[in-house]
Amino acid sequence: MRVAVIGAGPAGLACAITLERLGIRPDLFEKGEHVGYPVAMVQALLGISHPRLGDPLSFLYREYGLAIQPLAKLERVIYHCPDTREEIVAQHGYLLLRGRDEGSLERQLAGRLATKIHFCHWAEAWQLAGEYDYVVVADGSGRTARGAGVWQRRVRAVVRGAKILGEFEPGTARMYLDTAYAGHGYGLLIPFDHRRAVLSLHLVRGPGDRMDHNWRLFLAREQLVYDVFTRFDLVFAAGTVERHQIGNVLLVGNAAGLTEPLLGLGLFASMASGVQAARAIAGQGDYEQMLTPYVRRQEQFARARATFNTLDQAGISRLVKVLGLPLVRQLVPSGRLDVIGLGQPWLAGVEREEGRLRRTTTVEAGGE
Amino acid sequence: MRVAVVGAGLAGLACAVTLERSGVETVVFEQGDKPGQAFAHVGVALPVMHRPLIDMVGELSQTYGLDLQPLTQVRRIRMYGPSVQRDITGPDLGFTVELSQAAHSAAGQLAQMYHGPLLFNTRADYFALRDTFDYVVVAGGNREIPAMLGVWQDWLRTWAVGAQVLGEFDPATVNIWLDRRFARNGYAYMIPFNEKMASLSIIVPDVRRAVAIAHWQEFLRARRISYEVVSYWDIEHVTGYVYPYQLGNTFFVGHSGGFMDAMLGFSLFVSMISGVLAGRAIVRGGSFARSVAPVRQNMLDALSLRRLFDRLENDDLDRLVATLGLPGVRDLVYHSGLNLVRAAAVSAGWYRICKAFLRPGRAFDPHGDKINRKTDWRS
Repeated sequence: MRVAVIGAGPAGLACAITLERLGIRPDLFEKGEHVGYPVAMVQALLGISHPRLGDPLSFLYREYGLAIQPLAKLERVIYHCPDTREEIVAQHGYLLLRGRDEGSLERQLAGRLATKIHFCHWAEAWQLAGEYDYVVVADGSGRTARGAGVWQRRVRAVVRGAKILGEFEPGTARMYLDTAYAGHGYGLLIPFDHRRAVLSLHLVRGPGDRMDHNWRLFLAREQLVYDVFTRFDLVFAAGTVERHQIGNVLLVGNAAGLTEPLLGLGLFASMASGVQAARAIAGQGDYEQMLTPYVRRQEQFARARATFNTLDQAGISRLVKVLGLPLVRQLVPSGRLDVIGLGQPWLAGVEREEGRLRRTTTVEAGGE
Repeated sequence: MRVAVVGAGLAGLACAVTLERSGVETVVFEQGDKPGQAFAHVGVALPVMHRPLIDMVGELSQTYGLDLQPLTQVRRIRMYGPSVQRDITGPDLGFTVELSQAAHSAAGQLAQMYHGPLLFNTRADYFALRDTFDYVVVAGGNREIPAMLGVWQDWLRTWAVGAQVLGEFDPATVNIWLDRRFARNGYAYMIPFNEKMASLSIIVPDVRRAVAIAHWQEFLRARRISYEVVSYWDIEHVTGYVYPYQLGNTFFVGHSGGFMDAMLGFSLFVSMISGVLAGRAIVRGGSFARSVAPVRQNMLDALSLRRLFDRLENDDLDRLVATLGLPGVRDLVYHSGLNLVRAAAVSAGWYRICKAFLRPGRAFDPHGDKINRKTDWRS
């Protein structure tokens, strides 16, 4: 059987590894000349994303056979709002190194692969679909799904990040929630080690040229007087797809719209979908069915995002204060209490309300 | 003797290599975690800007002791004016080299030649270094330290916006686009990494970042360029003038010493040379100012050329490209030892003197009158 995998990110690599284990040697195409983004980053794998699965790394190892070495455990998150600050010590999840450096998630996964990766190789899914039995699209973009007309854009996020030097505590992340510069996005400080950290600002649907202004405001208001260097900007388009398999083309990771729209995290679902796609190709089940729990979870996060978007600064600060309450702080961050799942009836209510308002507006516009 | 080098870029590493070979105890401080620039692009060095030089790789190796392995020799320069296109071909029009953090990049190669201490993720405190080391070589790649010490003056600010693109390329061909509509008085260029990947970028002077990005998009649209993009990058460059180059026990090299030509913004070659010359001045105790004088003259000439170029409009650019492509001119410019930059600068100087003589009212206007520049230039 001939299988092509497009993209050597976490989803594509997880898929290729699983295919190999199932006795299928895929052709893996990557447009860059290395695995991973050119800039090193730290990304969180949070327990709250998929609470029913327990510890995310043990789940990935136990169920999917992916042994991943984290940079550190995320043991403390400090939330900064203009008028309040909450420090929450709990088992939040893990910090993973991303990028091209030794020990990054991409390098760890690529190291386990026997297949040679075709670097600097642009591949187009619909062209390959004719030559291969199956094509797995893991290019991180909605391009293929858009081509098939099954993509619906949900959020566009712009992220600016920078490496900073100073003194940091590994395992402690800081999240900045101030609508003045972040709108309904957030600022984030995550350390690589004691001396280096990555500082980033995640804006939702921010027009690119406002980033300069917001970034300066972010640094000024939070008094982040670090030496900033190697700054980078990334644009992410997250969306949803109606179908995850179109003929012999399987969509995985962000190409399948599996980046959750609340915080913009999609690492876990990306790797999981890669593994599931490989299993489906090997005849172990129906891909759409295997993805159902992840897709449902996406919907839940989308509702949480819609609710979050209705909050003003006072509301966000209140939310942070609630997160800091005694019982909540122990149960919620670790995922032992699935607030997003359990809160669905209420969250759905807000969405219905929003939908009704939106419909009204449409009617008015049509009447003119 | 102990020397501190601030910055593990081309200039800093070239200096450190030179010092180490002479047995001087050297420490390099680098704020990043690898030598070189974080984003991958390709640099080109054209000897036409450094006549009478012909063989730059040989010159680097023989005169400056740096055996750099280039990506390739440039065998064709394809110049696009707003509506004309001309090719210059030759066996050795210059060389290209990867600028990134890879082992085969220029900085990666220099880092392999240097075996002394290289402290990554370390922010150098200039004043502490100045007091604890015998010499400090500032090669930070920006104006931070020279501006703080009051020896820096801005010349030209530009934004460079670019991308790594995939397609089919001839590695020995460099493409240059001149068009005021999208590049203003800057230019766009494309240099291949290899047969499959190239570095495409545009350099726009005197704009904000957002405007530079708009220019980039306009460039892609106007030239119907639709390569698949691997990644984008953008960076601000400030070309400046540093005087003096040596302040007590401190030397300024590379971009921090203003070693970047104001005409095209090229700095690959002069950065490394300034590093080596500073190293030699420390070892031999000679005058750094004297040894870099020819390089500095070259940069002043390039600035004069830039002032001339700034006045050209789109039809002039077409004429320029067409003229550079004419057989006789082409041979004179690209294939002979004629120092074009010097010659142009000298003729510009004479032009100004003649003009001042004929129209004395404008005698002391060094940069030309911006408002009347069109009539100035054509009259």
